[in-house]
Amino acid sequence: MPTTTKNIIEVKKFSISFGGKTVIKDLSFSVEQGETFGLLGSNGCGKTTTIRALLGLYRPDHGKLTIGGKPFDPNGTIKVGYLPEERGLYKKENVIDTMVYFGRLKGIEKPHEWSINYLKRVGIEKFAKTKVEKLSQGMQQKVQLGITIMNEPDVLILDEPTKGFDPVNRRLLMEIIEELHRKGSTIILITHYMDEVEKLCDHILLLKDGVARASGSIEDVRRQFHNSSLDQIFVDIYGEQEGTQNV
Amino acid sequence: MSKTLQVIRFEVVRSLKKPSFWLAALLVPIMLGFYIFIAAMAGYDAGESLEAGIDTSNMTLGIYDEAKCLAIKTFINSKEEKQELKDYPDKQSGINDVQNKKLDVFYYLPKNFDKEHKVEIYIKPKSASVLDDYTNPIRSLLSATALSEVSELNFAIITGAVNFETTTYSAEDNHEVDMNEAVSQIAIPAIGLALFYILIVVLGNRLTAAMVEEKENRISELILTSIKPVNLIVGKIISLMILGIIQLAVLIIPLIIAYFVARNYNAVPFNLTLKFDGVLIAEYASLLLFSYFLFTSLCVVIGTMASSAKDANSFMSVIIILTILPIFFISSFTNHEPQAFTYFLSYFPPSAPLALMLRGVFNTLPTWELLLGLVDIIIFGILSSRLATYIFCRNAIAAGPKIDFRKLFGSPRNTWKK
Repeated sequence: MPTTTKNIIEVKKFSISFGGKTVIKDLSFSVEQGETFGLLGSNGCGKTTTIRALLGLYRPDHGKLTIGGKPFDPNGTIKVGYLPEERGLYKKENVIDTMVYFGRLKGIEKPHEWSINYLKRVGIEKFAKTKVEKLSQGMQQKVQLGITIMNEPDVLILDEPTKGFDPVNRRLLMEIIEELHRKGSTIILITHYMDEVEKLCDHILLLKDGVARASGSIEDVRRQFHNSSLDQIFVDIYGEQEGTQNV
Repeated sequence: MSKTLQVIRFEVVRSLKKPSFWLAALLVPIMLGFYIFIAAMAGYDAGESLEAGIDTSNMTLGIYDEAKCLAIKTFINSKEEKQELKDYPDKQSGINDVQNKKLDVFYYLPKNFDKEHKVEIYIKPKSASVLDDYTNPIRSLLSATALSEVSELNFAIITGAVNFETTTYSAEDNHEVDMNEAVSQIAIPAIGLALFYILIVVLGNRLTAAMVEEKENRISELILTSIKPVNLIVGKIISLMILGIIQLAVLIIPLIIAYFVARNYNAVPFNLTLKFDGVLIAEYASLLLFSYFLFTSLCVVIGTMASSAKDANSFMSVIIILTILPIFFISSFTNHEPQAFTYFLSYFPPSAPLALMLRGVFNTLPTWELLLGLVDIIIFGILSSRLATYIFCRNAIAAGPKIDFRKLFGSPRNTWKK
């Protein structure tokens, strides 16, 4: 994919292997500033690995992955929020202390005030002083999302953000994502829900076995697959490799 | 405030909020205070008790001297009063009186006492422990008998009652060595050694557990998008050191108070008159501080390598054994001329802290060697913390306990460089 100065994320010829097994091979894509980008694929196809390499958590065997033209730096000028697929918090700490700690690490002003307002918005303000381990899974996910977005990130990476949410909370989450998008955040969305992709994403990339299978706007991808629905396209591409494991 | 300081603040504050932290810190002083309280309430006098044995002033004592060797049958008891032993005509009547509670203690010197040198003592304790010492009266009688037959000088020589006064001159300038000062010079490294040992035992597991927490709770990905690993690791190391020092202070301050209280109640069996040298204290305080830094860094390395607290504990035992290695070879430290193995332990980083402190205790550590050891410990501590950072970068989101050492020690990405 050709890159322009508007591209905030660029992945060029990225390859990585684990234990001799190639997980991603020569993957290249770019994400324009302000767009919502869907990174799609079945379990184990390399989506999370790509994000981890983009954030410097994995070292690529080959290639270059940059955010704002540079390798990711937590102290850099571009603010990144990442909601990982593997979610966790300090279980023995209370909600507000945890949020304030992350707020301070992210350098936001008045982290306590921001956290209380966020907890009110997502309806769990009365659990502010509750230990994280006492919260339900859904409540913990709301706290994690709050931590992810509290610095109003320039780049927001959400790895299956709605997994485990009931429809009401899923809608609330979608609203928050749309709001951030309106404010100018670039969003990378990893999801298995095609309705979310259709509603939110400007461009998508479908990965299969570590190789880009299709990419472009949703309409472009549909055209490539004879105007099928995204659900049908997903089934056509990944139908034969169910049961694979996440890397 | 920098991110490292934020980590320190978070880690210190949340630990101080935990009751378990204070429980662990206060358990030893509380137990010691309880002992001193009981001792003070009971009017216990350690020195008197050790020297005098049981008080027999309110007891009836009897004796049958079949060997006919005792010159007198009266002695001075612990209340400085004369106390006489009732003479019995035979052994059995004395034993009968003890059994019938007519007599508290009965001593029997058999006919062959001059050959066997054995006194039989018969008692029937009421409530006191069977371990109480009833030998003082008969010892006094035997000593008085011996003294009546030999000169006072010979008696003193035989009984080891001769006093010795030693004057020691320093090796450097022939000035007379103050023994209180000499004892103090040994006491300072000994105190350092004891404190370091306490730190290892009390805090070892917490150090590794603190590092595994992010991995166990799957926070690594979330936190590493907010802070560089080097800031996180340095923050963790400093906060763990602060917590250790707080815990040590909580342990020491009550101990010092308890010592002075105990001295007032005469509940300590010896009297220390220590003269502390400020330079020596500074040297060993630095050694203790940087030794703790090294130990913390090593624990952090283990914590970053392991995938769970359980894994970390098995690695930790190796670190603790290497650290306390000098204790197993303590005899090699008692020689005035250190052996090659002693030098090895003194500069092998994990064992260096205890080895240097032990050499300080046995007065075989010149100042230049102490400083060299300090440099060794500081360098290795810094290298260990750097290693911990490298490992954390590569192992922060490891899914299992297996570590790919090839990847672990591969060249770091620029992004993780400070």
